[in-house]
Amino acid sequence: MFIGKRPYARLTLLLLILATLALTSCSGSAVPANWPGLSTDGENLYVAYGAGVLGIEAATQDVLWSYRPENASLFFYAPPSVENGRAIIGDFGAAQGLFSPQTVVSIYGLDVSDRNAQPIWTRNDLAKDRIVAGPLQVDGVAYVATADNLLLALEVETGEELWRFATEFSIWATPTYYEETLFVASLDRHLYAIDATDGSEKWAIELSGAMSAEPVVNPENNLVYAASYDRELHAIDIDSGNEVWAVQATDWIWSAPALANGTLYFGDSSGNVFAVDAADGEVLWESGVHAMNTVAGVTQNPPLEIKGAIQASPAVHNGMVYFASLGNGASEEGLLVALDAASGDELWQVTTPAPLFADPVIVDDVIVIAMQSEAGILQAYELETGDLSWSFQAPEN
Amino acid sequence: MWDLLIINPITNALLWLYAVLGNNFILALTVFTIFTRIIMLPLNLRQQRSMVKTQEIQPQIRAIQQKYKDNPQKMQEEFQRIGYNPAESLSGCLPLLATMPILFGLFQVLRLVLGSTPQTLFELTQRVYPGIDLTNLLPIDSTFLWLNLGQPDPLYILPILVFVTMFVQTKFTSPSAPKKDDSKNKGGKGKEQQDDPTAAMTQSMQYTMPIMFGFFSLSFQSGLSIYFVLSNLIGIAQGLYTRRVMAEEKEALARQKELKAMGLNGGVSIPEAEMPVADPMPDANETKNNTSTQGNKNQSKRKRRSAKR
Repeated sequence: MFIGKRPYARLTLLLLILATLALTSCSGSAVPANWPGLSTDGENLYVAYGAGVLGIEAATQDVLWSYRPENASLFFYAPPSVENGRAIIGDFGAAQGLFSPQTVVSIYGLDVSDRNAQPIWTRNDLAKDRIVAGPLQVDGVAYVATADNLLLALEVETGEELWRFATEFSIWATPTYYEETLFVASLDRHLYAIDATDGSEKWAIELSGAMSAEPVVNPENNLVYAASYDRELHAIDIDSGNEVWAVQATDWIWSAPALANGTLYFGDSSGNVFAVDAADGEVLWESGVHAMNTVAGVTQNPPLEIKGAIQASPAVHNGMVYFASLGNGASEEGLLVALDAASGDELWQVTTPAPLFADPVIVDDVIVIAMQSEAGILQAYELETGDLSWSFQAPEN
Repeated sequence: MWDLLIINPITNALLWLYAVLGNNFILALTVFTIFTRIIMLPLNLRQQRSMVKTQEIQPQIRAIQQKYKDNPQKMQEEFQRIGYNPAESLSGCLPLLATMPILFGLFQVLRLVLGSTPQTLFELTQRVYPGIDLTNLLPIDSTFLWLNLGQPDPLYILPILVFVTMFVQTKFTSPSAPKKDDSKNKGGKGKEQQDDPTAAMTQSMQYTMPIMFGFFSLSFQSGLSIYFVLSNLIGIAQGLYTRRVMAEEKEALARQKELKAMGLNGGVSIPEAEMPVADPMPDANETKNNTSTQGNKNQSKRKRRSAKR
């Protein structure tokens, strides 16, 4: 209407079209907005990645079930929670239309008892921002944390809301359940203890950094551990909510520590790894403290060095602790390192096809990693040797 | 290179402002917008002056175009004589082009800084300069009134504000469109706009820009829409200021001419280069009669006013 056959008007139009293309391409809805979510029940693997969610038998890598909603612009990255043939998942939301300001985020209850997973309910009226944290199912109740500051308690069978608890900022961490108490770490720097029956707050402690790591409960010492961006791992008394001790890392701690045999293992964003006594926080070993013996110019026992930030929780099995890292940053590769849990000595390391953000899981005598890679979204390595056992590509449909 | 020159500096500038302004993101965004407008101010002022000046000498330009349509070299010489550079007509796009990197950059930066995924936070950590303590800044408060600055406005208010302020800004920063009856005589409006590329461009931009950016704002982060609105408001103020200054200059010029005509030397001095050429081509009377412009009308209005005095 305003653009005729005038050359300068055409130039204006061209500029505007270029601006439109550039700006809309910036929105990048087709680009993966997160790394895959991976969980396990010890036998099967559950993967949320891109437009779908999958259940996979770990031993055979057969797809047990899959779910992909009709809306192809939806993405799933929060690890699914699967119990008794019911999967609870949340998506990253999608705009209602090209120019719609409304984003709809849905939480799904799926019947995954046969190959074709069917939603038994879908709630798109609860969350207004992404579901980043994996849901948790306990005794027929699903606890779902949202990026719009909510912890929701939903009936697994019906999706009915039982209660909600609001924090001051997003929750990216799966809540931890222990004796009718939910421990919730929030980006608002608080660790909350919430009564799981009614959603009331038992106590809250403010730390000096935001948290995206799932709290870890140690009943033996009556402690709950909170890893924080304040570069510390905090031990909090389960009953009172008071800090008992804290151990200093060198950088942000993104993910939960692994607790095994009275020792906590964790890594930080600088690639340093630590083993501390779970009772008192005494550092048992850490990277960079190994003695170097140089013989004839050759370093015999180099300091432990894991290249790249550690953003995933470690996994512990049979006296070995496994750390996944983002690699050295110069390449698009990641690193999987196995250490002796007692000494911290490196046993093996393998370079992975992509940086590792998601927590590795141990199932069926292999350690499985999830990644954004053309080589496969899952790869499994032998626990003892680090040899590649299998790769899994997401089915196209 | 894009990250190094645009994304990282904008990211860190916003984070630094957020830190020094009491962890208030909307305040940080406001100061950032003012700062970018100040940087762009000389370019904007120059472009606006150039547009107004070009419009004032339109009668001369058209007369020259008519007379020397078969002699481009002579046409250029005559353009030079009246102080007109055709290439400057395209400078209307320049401020828009110059702000595009900031616009695109800010789009990405808001996604990073206000992003609600671990991946965007991880990306952010890779871009922060050593002097900025991100640990103390997180979480970045992205709320303002009813808005989450990292998400589109659910109430559609910002897209309307973007449209309105951008439309008003374009009105204030572009010269008035020629009257319809002026162009009827010679080839109609289309012909007029073909002869006057600046007018054609500004007129089409006057409508298309606000409509398009209004639509963009439906799906953009509210933070970016607020940047648009603030930037437009500053543009409106700047347009008003430039118009007032140029009107004063014209008045001063008119007074000086009157004094000259009376054989007196008024104390006001306007550089020769800044003076609009009042007389059209001596031998282009035919064209002159058919293409009277707003500039000439203003001059005759002023003459009438001074005659009354």
